[in-house]
Amino acid sequence: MDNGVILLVEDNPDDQALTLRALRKNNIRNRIVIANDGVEAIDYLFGTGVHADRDPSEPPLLVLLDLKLPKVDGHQVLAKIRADPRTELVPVVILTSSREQRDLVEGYRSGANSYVQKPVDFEEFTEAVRQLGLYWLLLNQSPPSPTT
Amino acid sequence: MSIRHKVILLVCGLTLAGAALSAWMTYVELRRAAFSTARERLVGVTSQLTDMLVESSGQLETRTVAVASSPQILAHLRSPGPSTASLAMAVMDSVARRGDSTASVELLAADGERLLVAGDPARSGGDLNATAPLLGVFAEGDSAVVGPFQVVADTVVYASAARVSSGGETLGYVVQRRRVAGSGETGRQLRELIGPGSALFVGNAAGDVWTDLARAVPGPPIDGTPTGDTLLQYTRNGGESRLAAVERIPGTPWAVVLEFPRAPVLAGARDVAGRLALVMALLAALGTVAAWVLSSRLMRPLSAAAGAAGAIARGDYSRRLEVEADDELGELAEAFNGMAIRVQEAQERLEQKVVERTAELQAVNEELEAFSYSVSHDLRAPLRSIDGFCQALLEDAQDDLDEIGRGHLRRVRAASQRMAQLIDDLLELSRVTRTDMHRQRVDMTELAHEIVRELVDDPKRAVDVMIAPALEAEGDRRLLRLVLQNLIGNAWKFTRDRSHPRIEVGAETNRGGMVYYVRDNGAGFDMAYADKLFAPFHRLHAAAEFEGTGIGLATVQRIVHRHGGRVWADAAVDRGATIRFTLDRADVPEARHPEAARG
Repeated sequence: MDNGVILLVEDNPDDQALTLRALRKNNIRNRIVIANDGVEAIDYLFGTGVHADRDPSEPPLLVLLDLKLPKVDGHQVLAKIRADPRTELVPVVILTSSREQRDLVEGYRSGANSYVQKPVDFEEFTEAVRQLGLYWLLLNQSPPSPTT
Repeated sequence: MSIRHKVILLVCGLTLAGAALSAWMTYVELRRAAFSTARERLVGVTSQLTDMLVESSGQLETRTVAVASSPQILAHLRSPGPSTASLAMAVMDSVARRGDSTASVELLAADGERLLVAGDPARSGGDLNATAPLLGVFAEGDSAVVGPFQVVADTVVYASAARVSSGGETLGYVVQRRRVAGSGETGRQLRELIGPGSALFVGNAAGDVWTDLARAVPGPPIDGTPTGDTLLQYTRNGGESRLAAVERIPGTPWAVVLEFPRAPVLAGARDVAGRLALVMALLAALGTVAAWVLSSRLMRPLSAAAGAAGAIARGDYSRRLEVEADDELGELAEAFNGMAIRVQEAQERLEQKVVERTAELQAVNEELEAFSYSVSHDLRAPLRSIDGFCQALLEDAQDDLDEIGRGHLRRVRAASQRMAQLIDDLLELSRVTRTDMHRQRVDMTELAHEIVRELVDDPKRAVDVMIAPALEAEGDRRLLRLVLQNLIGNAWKFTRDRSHPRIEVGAETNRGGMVYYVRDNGAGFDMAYADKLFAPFHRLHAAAEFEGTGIGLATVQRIVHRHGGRVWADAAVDRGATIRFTLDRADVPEARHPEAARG
């Protein structure tokens, strides 16, 4: 499972760095692509805009999605992911600091596979990432790629 | 009693009283009139009888005087001898044998000695010696007297005496004895005149002899005292009530009594009074019926007003009264309607205000919601960075940092974590105030067990937890869970250093309401600072002793107050604490078995 790409959609550079660090500490060696906002995420997923050169036929293995994003927010990105047959099966984990009930409900309703709250404690955060990695990347059976 | 019944009762009572009073007064008046008439009649007839008797006694006297004045009598008295005696006898005989009720004629000497007797003395009764009473009647100047009645055998006799005098000297007396021998004709005529049951008595004024002009009769139980213009009343003949008029016969020792049965006198009055009473009762009944009908008509507007007032009190502000008449009731109706209109307007204004305020409140709430949402998210992010990079620093620059440096970093991390906790608690507190309350029956026992299960993480730590069974409360489940979470969590925290930590969750009934409590035997606190206990951020322990943000109890208090209850604490340093709280008293059901059970 080292081949798949993990798409990290996160606008906060500190959070980006910490997440990468946590993934690395847990020996998750997959290539991690970072999208700084919703538009970039969509561009990457569908091979448009700044990622026009990418082939959208191979979707990422896992999407770690923050909700509070500038321009297009996490819920809208999720909606787009689920709306497109190329990406509708991709596992999406909402990784957010929001504990608000409506985000949780809407996230699941929009088709998120998982909702994890980013803890402030970095050790806890690392642990959360580890468990995420363990589950989604190793234990979980990924959906088949639509091209196969 | 309703006004209606009072009015009817009043009218009924008044008319009945009035009827009774007037019937009584009429009866009294009629009685008086009847008696008056009877008296007049009786007295009148008695007077006539008296006059008649006076006349007849006068005639009797006259005749006796005539005999006493005859020369033969005089001659015999002057010079008594056989020839004068036979002459005198002749005169006396002529009177004695006249055939009326004269029984005998006697000639007495001046000393009362009987000289001559004409007629049949036997017919006048035996006692010829009883002249003294007769002669004793003579007074100075009397030429003739009439004597009292006497009963001889069953005959009533009387006598008349005349003085024989010449030249002022009394030579003797002539006594004429007569019998009472009427035919009863008088009685019959009387009864025709006065009425059936009437009776006539003539007798001595002394009351010892009475006759009905035919024979001796037992007299009325009176003496001959004249009654003048009034009537006597007595009972006779076995209880029959009689009225009587009594008169003296002047010039005689006689009296006449005219009797009449009382009942017939009154009968007429009674009849009339009876008919009158009937009519009055009828009028009273009519009056009552009229009062009934009228009162219902009068009361109807009042009942309508009462009903409309009740409807308005229940919330129907559109009720109005019909203004039927131009009287006080009409005024009432108009005033009532005016009031109702104002009430309705005020109600509408109030509701309008409520709608506005609710909208305002909702707007404020939504703003707060958005505010705390961004607070929760945006404040945490930098904290995460602080903590994360501190940790990264600790890991990456391990060799470059000495213990002091590492210590600094650890403090930074601890501070940021505490801040995160604070943010969470504050958010919780604000959410508790804003959130809608959904009241329902909540199984507090179950909640407490859940929370304890969540707290039990360290198998080495055995805490004795006693939760009372079947604890129920009425309130918002989520909020009550928070209360128990905070209280039991506190108890858990503060009993950490005890060798035999013990937590109790239960309830007691107090003053008609349910008081829930969470008790522990932990560190407790000084009651002197108890007033700060529920204020946010105030802590009674150093952070080094027991962690905490100081928001928990403030949250508990906020939730309890939202339920309408109270929360208070009792504690002693090192002897544990008991936090008690109530929820809305009126809605709380009784716990069935409030003894604690092992939980």
